Amino acid sequence: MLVEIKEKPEEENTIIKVIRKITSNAYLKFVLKKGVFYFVVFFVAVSFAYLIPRLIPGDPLRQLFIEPPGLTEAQRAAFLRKVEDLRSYLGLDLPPLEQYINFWINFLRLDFGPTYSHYPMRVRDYVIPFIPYTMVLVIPALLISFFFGNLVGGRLGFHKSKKNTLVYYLFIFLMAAPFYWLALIIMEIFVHQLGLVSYTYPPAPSFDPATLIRLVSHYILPFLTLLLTDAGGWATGMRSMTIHELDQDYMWYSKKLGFSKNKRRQYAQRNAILPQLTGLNLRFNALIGATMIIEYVFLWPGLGDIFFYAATGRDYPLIIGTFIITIIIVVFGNFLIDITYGFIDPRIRTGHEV
Amino acid sequence: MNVKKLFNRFQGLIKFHSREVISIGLFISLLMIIFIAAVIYPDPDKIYLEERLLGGELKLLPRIYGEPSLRFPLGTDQKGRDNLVVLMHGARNSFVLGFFVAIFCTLIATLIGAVGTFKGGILDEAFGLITNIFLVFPQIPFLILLASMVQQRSMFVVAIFIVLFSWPWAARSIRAQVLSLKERAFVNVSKITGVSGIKIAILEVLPNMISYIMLVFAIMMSIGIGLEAGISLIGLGQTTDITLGKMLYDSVQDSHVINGYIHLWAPPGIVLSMFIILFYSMHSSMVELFNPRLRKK
Repeated sequence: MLVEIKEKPEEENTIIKVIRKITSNAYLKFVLKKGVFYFVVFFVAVSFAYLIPRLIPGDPLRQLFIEPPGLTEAQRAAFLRKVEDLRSYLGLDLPPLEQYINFWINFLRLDFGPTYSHYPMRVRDYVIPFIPYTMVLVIPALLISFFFGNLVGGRLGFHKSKKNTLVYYLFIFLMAAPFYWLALIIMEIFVHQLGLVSYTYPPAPSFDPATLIRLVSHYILPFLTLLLTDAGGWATGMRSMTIHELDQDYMWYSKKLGFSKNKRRQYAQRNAILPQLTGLNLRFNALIGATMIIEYVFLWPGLGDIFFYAATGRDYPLIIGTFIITIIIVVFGNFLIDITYGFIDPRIRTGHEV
Repeated sequence: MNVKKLFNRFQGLIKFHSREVISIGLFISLLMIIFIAAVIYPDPDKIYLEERLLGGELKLLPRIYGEPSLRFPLGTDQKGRDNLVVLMHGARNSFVLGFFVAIFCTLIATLIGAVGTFKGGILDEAFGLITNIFLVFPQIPFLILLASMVQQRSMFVVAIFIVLFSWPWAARSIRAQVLSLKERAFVNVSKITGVSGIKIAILEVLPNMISYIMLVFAIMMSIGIGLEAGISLIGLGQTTDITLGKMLYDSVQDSHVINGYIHLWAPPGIVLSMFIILFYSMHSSMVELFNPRLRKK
């Protein structure tokens, strides 16, 4: 790599510099370490999906097929035989280790079996169309609330005034009020009082302008709920981080040097944002769960909605399939956030860790 | 003279610790109201009847969706129960559940945080890895998965479910605190005098940790109450008792928002927010109390 650069020293522009930083030894090592860690996390989580239904007392098959009352001896034997046939068909009578290996083989083929509620359909084919609905809520809500909340929070911490204190209390309320209850308030205002959106499932997406507008109008409310709750958390956190930065020596020094207030705020914010970035992971995990509940409240057909109906309808393959797909999204998202953080933090990027 | 002195001291307390006094006062009064009301009205499931004209005949029917009145300040709900009494019982049950969750979480977190760091070696590494792995797990999908496998869920079972996936945050923060305390001089002195690691952890470090553990406890309580309400809202919480989340579940299920029953869906949320805001303000005032450097100059 170094040899390449020596060959054409005059062409070493910023892009090459960036690429060199990305592929620097320390950073690659960091990415590899994170990759191994998240693989372990993923393995443990999917194993939980295998273990939980088997560890919890009670037989799922007997819960699905309840014995009708008043059977004769022969009918009863036939009923039990049917259940046992189904058990061997599903491979549930094999020894645990064999079942576990089969579970992973099926997982690698991304095959979670057929859904019970929409019978011939495979779980994978059923779940995949719902993933975009969840992701268009989660990703913009996470990123926009992060930038918006940190921008406002930094200003709230730096400039002290009555108005800012008021805004701060508003953000505290947004952070502390449970998001599902905030959803009900938003629904009261926009659906019940103003009547802007109807309380139904959104139409199937198409390129027809009228349908598109209706789809967006259904999208706005859950998005707004997630955005507001998250922005509250980021803003209050950023405010206290900025106040903490104000006490640092470099802030005094830059003040004595006569830097403008805006310049000093930029420096404070830039230093305060690193700890905030480490919180992005946890917020992402919480946001996935929050989205699932919000989807149910607002009738938005995402992963949470089908997860809920699978759970109440005891559609076991669909429950496990949705759960594993959620885990894939969470683990992959966490990995992406981590390696982005490693790239932004100069200590990790260059390998000069403290 | 003495009374005046006492009053002056009291005034000073209110002036400099206004937030603490207000939050603790509010919290205690909230709890008193809830617990006393639950004793006065022991049966939240009591259904109130009223005479109504049905098909030209006067019939005694449940008083469903009653408007707020003097007798029923928050009206009656979809089953004809007094909504205020239901709210009191729900708040009490939520509080008790949050308390259990917080106790178990704090116990696990203290154990993993303190024992791991003091034993050192493989145990420490293992505890750290387990904590980090569990920290990545999203709580709500796991809770839905667990709840969907158990059809009858009591409050205790739900509390255990929540504990299973809520302790890592507490464990990580307590671990970080123990790690910083471990480097202090008094620990080194005890080590030099030959006190065993476990003894140092229990006799020297733990007393210094009590304040921090209380902070974690307060946060865990608000997390427990909030999570329970969250999964109860989608109908996968406990199935036996009334909690604030169960009330919100009824509101979503019977479309109280769309039908305009604001007196049914707003109060549980207000009580929930009050709980959570009070725990947070207790947390921040405790931080200031225990860490004098953060106090106002």
